[in-house]
Amino acid sequence: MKLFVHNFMSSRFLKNVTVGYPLELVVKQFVEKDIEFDRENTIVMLNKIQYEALVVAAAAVNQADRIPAEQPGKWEDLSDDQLKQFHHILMNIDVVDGELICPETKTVFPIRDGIPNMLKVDGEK
Amino acid sequence: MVPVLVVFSQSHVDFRIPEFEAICSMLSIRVENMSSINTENHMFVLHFESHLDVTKLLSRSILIKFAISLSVEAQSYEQLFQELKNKPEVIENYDVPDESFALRFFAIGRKKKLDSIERIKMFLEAVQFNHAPICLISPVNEFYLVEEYDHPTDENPRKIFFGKLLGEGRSELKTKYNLRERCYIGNTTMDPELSFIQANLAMVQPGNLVFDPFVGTGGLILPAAEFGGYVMGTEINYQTARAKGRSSRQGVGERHESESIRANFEQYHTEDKLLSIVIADSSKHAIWSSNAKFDVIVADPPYGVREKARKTVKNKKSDANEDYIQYQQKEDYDLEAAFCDLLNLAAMTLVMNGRVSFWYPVILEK
Repeated sequence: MKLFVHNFMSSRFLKNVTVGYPLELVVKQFVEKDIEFDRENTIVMLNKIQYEALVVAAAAVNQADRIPAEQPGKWEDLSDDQLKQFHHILMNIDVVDGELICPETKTVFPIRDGIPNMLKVDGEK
Repeated sequence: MVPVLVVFSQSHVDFRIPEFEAICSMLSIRVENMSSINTENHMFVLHFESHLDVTKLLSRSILIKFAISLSVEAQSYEQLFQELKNKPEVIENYDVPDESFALRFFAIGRKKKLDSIERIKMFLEAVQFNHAPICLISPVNEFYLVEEYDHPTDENPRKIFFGKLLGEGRSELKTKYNLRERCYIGNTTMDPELSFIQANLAMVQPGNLVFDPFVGTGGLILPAAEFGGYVMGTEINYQTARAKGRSSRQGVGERHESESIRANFEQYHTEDKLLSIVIADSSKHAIWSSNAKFDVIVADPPYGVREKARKTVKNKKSDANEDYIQYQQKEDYDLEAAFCDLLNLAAMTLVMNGRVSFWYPVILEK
């Protein structure tokens, strides 16, 4: 699961959960790749993300220092070097093993082999 | 406008016009006489604004075989040779020592008893290349002589076309993505040719976020990734998503460890485009946060006997702890509800002007 995906997911489908966002993220294992940077595509993606959740994701892989704590101004005004840091968090990091956790009920959704399981099958810890 | 002879594949003719229109719309290609395309004939002289537009169209089309920059169009060979004599530049521009050439013959409407070598000989006797060397394997310039017949039994063609090849469509993709050699397939993996046509109808563009809520083994998002989209999908079946259990291939038994959706992307070198597969119930839309917006949704919702539609329900057992929600139990998902859910999901998660493309089972009356 690329960290970008975390930004789109919520646990609002659970009973008694009102916001369910952002999901807490525990990363036990991840791989870092070097995926080609494309300025335009990165800006399009950044326009869709929720910044607070992105910071949560970056912190989960101990890379919060790559990006500012507060959302910068217009994405279009950022330099390529700045955008590359965001691209790295969103696209280059693939979570292999970990957990997504509902912030309200603390329900744990395991990530195994890079695939988050939002059905929560018993027996998978 | 430039005249271009566009030769279409004779398969999936019902998708011919929709695919053509979708690609032209997506890439802002203007064709003056687009409405002349039909499903009875298989080649058309179409007027484009530039050859570059044709190249763009060919870069995506599965159902176009090839396109030729039309130099001459005639009713007979006599007329064809006369026209070429009147327009010597058609040949002269390319008849230079450092540009090799090939001449190919193609006929549509009649295949029997046509001697292509004889045709090429006859043509080259009448229209001479004096400087350009012949190269049949990788020529710099490739010319086409095309005959169109009204009936398979006609002696003479209705029309003859001559021109230089602009390029071929992408029909090679259906071979590249063939299911026989694909690492991981399921019982109902979509035919590769149809999956690429769908990616065109859905107008998948490079950088688009493409989502399949019934992803299965990834058959619909592989083409989206090939065309440069970033893809993700949800799958309710744990075994399918994790590539566990019995293989869909006859006589193979258990699925091999190397099989996975990711392995399919690695096979075609598009793994960088795979955002994630998520095991989830696509009828629960609240799994997506309010900022989740896709550019394209592609789907082949499950139906019928081979892949039953399923969704999760709360465990109805009386002793189930109210606070502890279980997702194990699944129930059949009726067809209408599945499609309504899909459209609601699209309404909620697509960007403005985003596209949803899905298959719907119909029984055709004979």
